[in-house]
Amino acid sequence: MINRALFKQSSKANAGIWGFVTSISCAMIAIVILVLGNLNVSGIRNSMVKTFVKDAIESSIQKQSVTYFNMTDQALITYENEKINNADLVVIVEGYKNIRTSLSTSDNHEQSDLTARETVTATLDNNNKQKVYSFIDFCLIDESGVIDKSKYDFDSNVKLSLYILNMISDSIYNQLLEENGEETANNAKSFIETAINDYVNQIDYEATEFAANYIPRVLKDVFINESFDYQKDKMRISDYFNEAEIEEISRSAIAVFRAESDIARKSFIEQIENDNSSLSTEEKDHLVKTQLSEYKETYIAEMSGGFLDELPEDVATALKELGGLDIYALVIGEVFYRMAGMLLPMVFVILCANNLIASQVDTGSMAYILSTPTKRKVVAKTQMVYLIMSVFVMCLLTTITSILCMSLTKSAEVTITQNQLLLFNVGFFITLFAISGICLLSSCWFNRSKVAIAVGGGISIFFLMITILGLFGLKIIPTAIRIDAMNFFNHISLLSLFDTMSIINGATSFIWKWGLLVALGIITYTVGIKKFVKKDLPL
Amino acid sequence: MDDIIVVQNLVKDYGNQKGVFNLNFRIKKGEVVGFVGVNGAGKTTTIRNIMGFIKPDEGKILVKGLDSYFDSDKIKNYIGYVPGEIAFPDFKTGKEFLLFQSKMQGLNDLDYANVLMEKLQLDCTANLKRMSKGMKQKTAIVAALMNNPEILILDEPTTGLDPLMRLSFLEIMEEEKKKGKTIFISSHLYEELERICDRVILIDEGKILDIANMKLIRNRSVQSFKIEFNNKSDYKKFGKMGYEITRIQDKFNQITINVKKNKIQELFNDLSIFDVKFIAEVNYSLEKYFDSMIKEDNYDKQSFI
Repeated sequence: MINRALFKQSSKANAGIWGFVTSISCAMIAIVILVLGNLNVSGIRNSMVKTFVKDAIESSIQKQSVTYFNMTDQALITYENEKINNADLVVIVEGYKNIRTSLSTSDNHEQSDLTARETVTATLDNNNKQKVYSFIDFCLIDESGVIDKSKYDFDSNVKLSLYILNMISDSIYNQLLEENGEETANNAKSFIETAINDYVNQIDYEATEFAANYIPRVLKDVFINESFDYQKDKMRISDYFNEAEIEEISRSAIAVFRAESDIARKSFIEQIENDNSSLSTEEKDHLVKTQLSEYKETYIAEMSGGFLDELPEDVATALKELGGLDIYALVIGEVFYRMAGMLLPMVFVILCANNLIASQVDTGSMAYILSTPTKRKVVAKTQMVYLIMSVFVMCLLTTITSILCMSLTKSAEVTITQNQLLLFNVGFFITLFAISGICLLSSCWFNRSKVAIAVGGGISIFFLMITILGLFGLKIIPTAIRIDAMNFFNHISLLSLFDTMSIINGATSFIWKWGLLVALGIITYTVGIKKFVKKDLPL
Repeated sequence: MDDIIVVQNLVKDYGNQKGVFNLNFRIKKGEVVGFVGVNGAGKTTTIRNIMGFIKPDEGKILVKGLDSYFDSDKIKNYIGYVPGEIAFPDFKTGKEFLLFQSKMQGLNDLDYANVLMEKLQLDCTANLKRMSKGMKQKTAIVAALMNNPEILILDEPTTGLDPLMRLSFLEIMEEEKKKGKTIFISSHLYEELERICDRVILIDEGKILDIANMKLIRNRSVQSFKIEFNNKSDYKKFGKMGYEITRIQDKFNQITINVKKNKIQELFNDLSIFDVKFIAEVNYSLEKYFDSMIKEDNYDKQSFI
């Protein structure tokens, strides 16, 4: 279907420009990959990221320390208060125990339990009666979690401590369940249980002081094994801080929190003293407590998430994106394969497509080819096959060069895989295939060489130019220097169908876009050949 | 099937009176037909149609019975073509070009090409782009003739050749003619057509004005003579002697007459009594013949306005 002599002729005639463009393209991709791969081009960016991450982790430790400290502090104070408030429960239950002992001759535990309960609660109102009943139930629970009414020889002081502990941890569990889910609620519950147990088993510190010492010690063990989510990556906290540092951060955050709270409390008292002097002391106390707990909640909520959180949101986003900028994807995927590297092969395609048909028709040299027994269709197809082959071999050589160079780069910072690089090259060829179709169509359509170049080349270069303009509107460009309006160009550029971002992100949308490019190539080639076969030739 | 090329009602209208309009002619096997006309008369359009490069608006052309447009690849098996414009494909030397062309023609050797090159004194190893116009033309002629085609179509093939080379070219054409080739050659140089053509087609504004049979022109039964007399009385006397006068130039006492070949002796007898300054035979050429045709044509047109 193609004419070998003509194919050879076309190869010879365009060999010079082909060789020139191919070698320059290969040299360019080699330099780009080797330079990017072997120099620490993203040093500044990396140290920026490190600073951001470190800062964010520190803030997170501070916030969690204060949160846990506040929770623990509250729980311990509540515990102490409840113990004092419910001291009479111990007295009542001791009475219950005495009655049970006096009734111990009877084997009917059910009966003696009921009698004892009714006796000790005879003077109480319904509410308190209920309270006493549920505490007695709690005291009778054995190791297996079932109420056993025969075992009433428990230590009511210990039971009360446990009872209050359960109440507090349950209330924390319920508080957190709604907002933070079961896992967090369970964790908080067991955390508080441990904390209170540890508190009960020591005598050196009062509640708040204990919490302020306890939290940093516990959290340092937790944090050192955790990872921290920064954008898409998981950062190991131990890479940034050691245990001592974590403890120190936690301790100082809590100290600051306590100092601030103290100042706030004092000012609340002063204020209430001035404004509401008519209130009773108790009412004043209550008011201070409410205001203080509100203050603490706000304080924790407003604690900074780090340096970036303190900046205006768009500035923070811009800085984050700058830190997250994927230089390899940008320079190799976008700038080289879609712009800088595309230019010369495109120029080759424009000139070669013109040389193959339009120029020969314009000068009249096509007359010699067509004065031999060769069908016009065969001539056009031969030229088409040559054009596609020349572009294919060119792309094959850039593929080999780029993959070779990539395997020579040692830097761990290279984010592009060999597979992605291969896909870039495939896309590079498919895009050039479509462009060559447009150029050959133009070459077949027009009899004047300069018109063919102006139209085919003009369209191709136009797409390349608007792609370069569109670069400033691409999502990969940090918002700090992005001009979203420029993204308009990407919507109208043919080269946008070569979706390098989709390849980098591991998406599959680049495949159907390639399909469109291939279809465009096939259509333009077919129409071009048809036109050449049918038109009047001025030979 | 004597007719190698048949042009039937060929119309190719480019507008503005450009193109060809209802052309009809036939070329027989072994015939050499010339094609003359001023620039823009439609010569190249006709040749492009014959070569199948353009599609006729109406009518058709048969080359050896094949439609020249639809079977344009098949007819090229019989045709050698020298285009009007000399622009070669991108080759370094003439030899490379001729080798390529021979491959495209399905030829295996350049033997005949070498003979032709010798005859035309063509050094085909020269750089194709730096060749003079004449050398390029020679190369084109060799390319067209080297596979010994039955039909030769030449669009102004002698343009750019010096007179000596033109002569070599005409010799080659005569040889080809002897081999029985059918040749269709366009030119605006009458002499070269006169020498080799059997018939010459005159085309003007896309229409055939006349088809001249060279045999009749070469073997005319009359001869023209221009006679100048030394005095007016002789001039006037001779004018009344009943010869067929074609032109009178009173100022110089010149008379141009047509005389049948067998009456020439009579003419000289008559002239012996006059004081004749000179007598010269006026060559009757194709150019004269067609000039008169075009003049008449223009005159007719003017008289209609």
